Amino acid sequence: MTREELLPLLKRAIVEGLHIEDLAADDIADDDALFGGGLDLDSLDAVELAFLVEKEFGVPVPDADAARAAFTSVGGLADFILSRRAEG
Amino acid sequence: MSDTSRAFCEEGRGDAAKQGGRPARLSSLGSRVRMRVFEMLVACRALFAARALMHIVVFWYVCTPSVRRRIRPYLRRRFPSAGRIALFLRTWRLYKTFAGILFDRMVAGILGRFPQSVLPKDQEDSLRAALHHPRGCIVLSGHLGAWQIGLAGLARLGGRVNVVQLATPNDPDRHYFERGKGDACHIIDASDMKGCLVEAAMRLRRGETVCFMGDRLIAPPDAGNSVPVPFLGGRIALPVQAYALASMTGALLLPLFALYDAGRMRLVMEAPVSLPQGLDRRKGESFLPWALRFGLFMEKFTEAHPEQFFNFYDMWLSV
Repeated sequence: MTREELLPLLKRAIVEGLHIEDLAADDIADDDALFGGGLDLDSLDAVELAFLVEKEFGVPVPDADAARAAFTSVGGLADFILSRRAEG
Repeated sequence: MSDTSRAFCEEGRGDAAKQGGRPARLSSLGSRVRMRVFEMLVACRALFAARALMHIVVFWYVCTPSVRRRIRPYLRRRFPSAGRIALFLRTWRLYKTFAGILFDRMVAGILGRFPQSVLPKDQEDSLRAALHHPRGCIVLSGHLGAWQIGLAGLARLGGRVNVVQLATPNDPDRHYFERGKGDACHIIDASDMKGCLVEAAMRLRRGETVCFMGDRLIAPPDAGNSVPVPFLGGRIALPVQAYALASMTGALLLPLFALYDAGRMRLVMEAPVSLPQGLDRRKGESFLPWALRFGLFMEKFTEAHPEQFFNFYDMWLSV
């Protein structure tokens, strides 16, 4: 799966999985920050997002370091998923 | 001197949350040099001298008005009819107890001499079962009693024990296991809350134990991260992240304090509970029944052991 194929799937999964009601997947830019502005998710959203990434894309976010690396922007999360898949 | 759970947890951290600044911590009173003196005395096994010095330091602290002010909000509520002398004596007893706990933690870490841990057999079985729950166990404790060395008791009962706390690498005071002795706990740094909760959730899913301090907020209270509950005649805001994680992961929730009793430690716990899955985590009220229960647990503990409450700031919400 390429980055361009993954991004729309990821955006839709975020909107549906985190029950974001006032935002459509198409409205999310690739570089929108997930936390602290942008999508403005909170720390418990991060937990749900970690569960979602593992369930939908088969990539675990096992610890705080991985969460820091993964949860920057939607594009950053896509890169994290692709890199972890490539590793293994 | 600081403590095990500088997470939800720093001395006065909730004060910081309320007022937007970092308050003076009790640890800031103890200089690095003073800490080294205590460590050297303990390492030389000059425990009598170290304890004598501790009592002098405590008395000096208690004679300092700013130190007495830190615990005054609690003592005024716990002993509303106490006069100035009675409050002074209560303050002195409380700080003496706190210093004794920290001293014993230092002794445990340096010499490996842990206080005797007492727990009724039926409770030990229940605690052991909770700590080995396949979906993990959230130990909900607070700044009451000897929580610092209480963790050592948990680690000895088996399973991997993790503690959510703010990492303070320059703090001269350290955990018992950072001094070389005792079973180590894994620290989950709460300074990055999203990473902290993700790691806590993943460790719970692996069946590990994660300890939260349930009495202190790490961010200003709002409708999402806290819920107000009655406590000692007023209302305090309790953090809800631990309850939310229990609901999200299926982990058991175990309220637990470690009572410090004349050099011994007795774990005081309530029955572990499972929270329903799918509670609305965006509303603090979703977790009100469990927060109320924890507030009541704290109140019962302070009624029985008034000198073992160590939140050195005004934690009550203004009306």
